[in-house]
Amino acid sequence: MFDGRDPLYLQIADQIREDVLRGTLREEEQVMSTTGYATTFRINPATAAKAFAELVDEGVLYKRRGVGMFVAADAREHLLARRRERFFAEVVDPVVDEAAVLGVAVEDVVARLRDRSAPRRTAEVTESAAAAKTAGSAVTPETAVIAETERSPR
Amino acid sequence: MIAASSTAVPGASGAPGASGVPGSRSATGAPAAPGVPASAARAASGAPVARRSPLASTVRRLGAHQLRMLGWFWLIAVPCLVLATVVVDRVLGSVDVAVSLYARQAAIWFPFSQAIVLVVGTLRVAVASGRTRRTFARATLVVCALNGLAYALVLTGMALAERAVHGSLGWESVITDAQLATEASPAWVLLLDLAITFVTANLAGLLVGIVYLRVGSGWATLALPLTVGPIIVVQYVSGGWVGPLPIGWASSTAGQVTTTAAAAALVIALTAAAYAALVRTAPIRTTS
Amino acid sequence: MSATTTDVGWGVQLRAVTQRYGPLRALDDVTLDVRPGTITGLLGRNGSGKTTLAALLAAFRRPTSGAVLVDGEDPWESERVAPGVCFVRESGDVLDDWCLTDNLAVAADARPTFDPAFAAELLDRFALAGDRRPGRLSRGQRSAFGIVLGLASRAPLTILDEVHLGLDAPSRYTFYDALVSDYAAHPRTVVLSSHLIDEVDRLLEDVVLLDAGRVLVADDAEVLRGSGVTVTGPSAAVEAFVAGRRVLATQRLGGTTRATVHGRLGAGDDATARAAGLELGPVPLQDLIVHLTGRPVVTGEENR
Repeated sequence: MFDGRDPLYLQIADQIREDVLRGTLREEEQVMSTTGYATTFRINPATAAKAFAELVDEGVLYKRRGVGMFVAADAREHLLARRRERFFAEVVDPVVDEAAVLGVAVEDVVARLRDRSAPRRTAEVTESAAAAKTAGSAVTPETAVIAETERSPR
Repeated sequence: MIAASSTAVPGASGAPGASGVPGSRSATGAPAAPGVPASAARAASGAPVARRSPLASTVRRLGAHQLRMLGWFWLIAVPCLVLATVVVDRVLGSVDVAVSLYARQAAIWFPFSQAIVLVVGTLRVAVASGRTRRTFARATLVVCALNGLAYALVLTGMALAERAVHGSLGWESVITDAQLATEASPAWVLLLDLAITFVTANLAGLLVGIVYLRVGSGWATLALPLTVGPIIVVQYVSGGWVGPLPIGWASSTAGQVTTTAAAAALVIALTAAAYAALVRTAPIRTTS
Repeated sequence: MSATTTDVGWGVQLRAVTQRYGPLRALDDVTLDVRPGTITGLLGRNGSGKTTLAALLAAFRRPTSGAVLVDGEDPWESERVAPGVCFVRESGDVLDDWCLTDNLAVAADARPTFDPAFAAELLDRFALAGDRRPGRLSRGQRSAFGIVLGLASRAPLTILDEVHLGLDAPSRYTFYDALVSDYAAHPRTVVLSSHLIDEVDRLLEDVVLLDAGRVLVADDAEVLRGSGVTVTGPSAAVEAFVAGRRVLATQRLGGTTRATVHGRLGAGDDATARAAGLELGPVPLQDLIVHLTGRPVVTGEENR
């Protein structure tokens, strides 16, 4: 658990964000306390506290004095929006780089993307349309990825 | 292998609080961890909040231990003295000496060695358990002085009882190796005589112990004339026979008692002061 | 004034502290702070001055020169500070001829923060019988008793110096668990010295690293952890990437090199490395400290 290169508190924060996104942690649900983290993972409670502080700043968690940390009401939407912003820089770009290292052609990547997203397209279109409405752009996930891939100089 | 979303942008994850000056940090640093109420924790600890005097508790604990040792000592000494009386009676027909006073030397040197062990064995523990050397010095001085006094009281009581028993049997109670008090002296003079020597012996033991701790066994052995000296001095001043030295006073007079008491008080005070000074500056070794 | 009026523990300041034993300098011009209420690791090789530093905090001795402040005050012979500093070291400062229960009572007498109920609970957890004597215990049991004394004292400055010696792994984990949970419930300053850095790494909030009596690092543990990176990949690419950086160690295997680099990476370095086909990884704190306190190491075989 928590073996990554990032500071431990970031890994804990990321895991909580992941749990919120997936629905494992629901809104208004209580998060394990700093003491709980400390005794479960044998870490300094200050580390967990640091993670909580960051999540509180972000609006993902809030504190109920004397009780503990709870997931904020609109935490999931909040995280989705953030994730989407970073999707291209953090998920798509590494794909492009890796493809270049391996010598995989961009067209093959695009074809694969199309294949994979075909059965799920209906659900995604609905969701992206809703997101596009709020974001104010007419970009679908598919065209956005292709554009990004072709934009890359490699 | 494509990294999952947990890859943070490098450099942006900068942990707060990084200090640029090598080897130093600001004392103010980050606030205490949120969500951990300190006051609630303290109340829950169950530890007594009342102030306790470390001196009193140390005296109580050491004193209880000394009392136990005193008990054992006399538990052994008394039967021996009684047995000696009986044997002498059988052999010589009568006992004209104060047999009990033969315990004087034992009552000097046993507590003396006890005091050495006390310092050598427990100073380190006292400091490690959160006591100041000042408290330790005071506690040990009090306990050892009282120990000397206690031995003096017990022995005086025994001597008086013995006098009464001898008297009823028609025997004398001559004090051999008499110092300040002879068999004709009133009880308080005997008590003073014994108390002076016993208290000095206890304190000298403390002094020997701390010197041993401070300078090691080699130098401490060389220093014995100085550290055991107080006992000799006090016995000499009390009129006791001290080796080749001429006897200070021949017999006890009212003036001699006062002078002896004053001189002894000085010796005791100096011994205590030397001990305290050495204890209060004593380092505790971390390299064994 | 009693020592029970503590909030989160006592901070420590050392200013230009030098400790000399004859010609030997156990501590050389040490200036550092220990933040109140943290678990601070006191790390370094044997002979680096860790125990000497701890001894100064506990007023076991006075420094040859410089100032030591515990909670703002010189701890030497301070009636206020003395009961609040608990220094537990592996040799054990207990009365060998008195039973464990009596030894605990001796500590409880002097320390207002001592919790006898917690001490009893810890004795159970380490399977120690209160009527045994320290002189008759095994090495590990003595260490365990030291831990009981140290944790149950709840002293606002608790210093645990190599208290794990002789303990088997399960007992060590019992110790870490007890430390972490009690620290969370009763915040105080804990200075923890250990050579098993892999095991205590995550317990530490701050780190003080000593080497030959000098301070190498006195910083947030996370900052220290982040100050090392391993770069693995084709040797030429690695060499290009690490040019100009401080390299702590290099391992070569065939055409692949792994370099351990000291220093933080810049914003674009992650992408640069990826583009060059290099893999970046963390450096465990243990390794980082070994590298920082040793000489640069080059290992590996050329032809395999």
